[in-house]
Amino acid sequence: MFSLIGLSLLGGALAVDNRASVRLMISQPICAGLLAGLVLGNPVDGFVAGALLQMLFLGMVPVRGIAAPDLALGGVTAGALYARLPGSLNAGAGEKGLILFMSLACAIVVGVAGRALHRLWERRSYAFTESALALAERGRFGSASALHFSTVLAHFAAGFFVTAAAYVAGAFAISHLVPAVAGGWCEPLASLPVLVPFIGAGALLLLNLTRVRLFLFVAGFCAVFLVAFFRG
Amino acid sequence: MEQGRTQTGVWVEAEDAQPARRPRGAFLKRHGNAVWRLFFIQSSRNERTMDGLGLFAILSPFLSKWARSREDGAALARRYLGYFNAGLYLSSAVAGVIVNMEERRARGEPVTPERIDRTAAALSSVLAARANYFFDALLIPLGLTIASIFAIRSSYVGLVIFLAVYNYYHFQSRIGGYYRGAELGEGVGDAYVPRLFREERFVAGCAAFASGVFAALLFLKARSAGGAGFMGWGAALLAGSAVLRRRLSVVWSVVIVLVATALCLVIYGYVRLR
Repeated sequence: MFSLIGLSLLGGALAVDNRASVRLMISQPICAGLLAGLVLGNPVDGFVAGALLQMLFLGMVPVRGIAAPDLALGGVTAGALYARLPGSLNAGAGEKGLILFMSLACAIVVGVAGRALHRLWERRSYAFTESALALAERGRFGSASALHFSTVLAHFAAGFFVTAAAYVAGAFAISHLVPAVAGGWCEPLASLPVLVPFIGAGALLLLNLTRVRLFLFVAGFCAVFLVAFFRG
Repeated sequence: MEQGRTQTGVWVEAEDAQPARRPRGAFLKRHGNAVWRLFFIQSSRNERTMDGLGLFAILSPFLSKWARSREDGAALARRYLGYFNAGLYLSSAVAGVIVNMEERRARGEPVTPERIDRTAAALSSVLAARANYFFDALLIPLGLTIASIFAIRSSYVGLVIFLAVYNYYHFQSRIGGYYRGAELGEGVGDAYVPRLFREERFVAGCAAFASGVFAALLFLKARSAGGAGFMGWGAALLAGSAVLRRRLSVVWSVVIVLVATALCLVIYGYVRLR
């Protein structure tokens, strides 16, 4: 129960960082996963899940109004599920891979849901501006300004409840699914952490397709292989 | 040099926007109540007025000082509760410019509300475009790539580097931008904007180089985990991800490649079992 409250508080705080525009970037999944792992006493696995979610979405540039998922809440969810479940289910290597895959899938669903929730908020939150205008026209500038800051609480509450719901539902689903379906067939899923980052590398390649930047990309690539070659 | 402009040190400023340099301590004492508000500007963002309410909340500590009468206060509120969209990182500079110009108007200088609105609108679009490109397309991808390179080796160092580098520029843009705006007023367009993000090309180069390093390290890790087969698999994933991102949304491309990877691994495991 304490871990659930801790995680929910973390989700709320990261939602404020991400949505209320504090933007210290502690809400990036690589950091959110580590923090979720710390809350649950397993920072290493939390960091792994958060970093893999980050690598899935590397190279995503949130400009021109693209629908970027809410990776802050996704990072907390992935980190928390992967930090908690392998230990509590006594998972082997293959089962751990399956849990990782399911944690990442839950994180993407939470990210998309968080984005939809935020779009809904952006459509409706003009009501705050209208109320603030009515107050300000009566000379109550402080109250109008307080209305703006009350929206920070709304972001916190959204992060708090989405994280709590995602963690409870995700942990329930995965802890019932994995023992029921896991077997020898899922052994190769242990290799998922090796292969998943290539998805982000593809997006980074796409981001560097101009002539000079592609040259530097290839230079970085070759430099590593040269160093590896000479080091044997 | 254009007529009506003077050279002050390295700064080129409009004559009517001559900055009165104040010590930073005095500045913080005077503007401290606005500075912390800068960090919540997009909290009430909506589709109709974007960050209008956020800008109003930043300016609200000053509004009662600027308003000459109750009607003037209501007019100020209507102006600043309208549309405002200057992005995240340099909206602070625009807020600073507005504070500077409104203070001069309140002192009785010939600064009209139309001139303030025009200046804010012009600066908003220019600054938003420059800051969004620098942060979202260059600095954040570079920082996250460095964090990922270290994460491959299970190290948190990259994350610390990312947070330190990003927040150096972040605070410089948001607090420093406000400071410059409040100090220089309209002069910010000539004095501050050309000096912004001069390291842009260097950061872009570093981001490209780091991306290449990241990709190469993944191939080396794949080779040590599963030999040439894994390297080929990685190359296919890399190419597939790049192709899909050109055609589909980010989420769909990630979901398709992730599920395809897991399915291939599962089929491989099933075939091996049989």
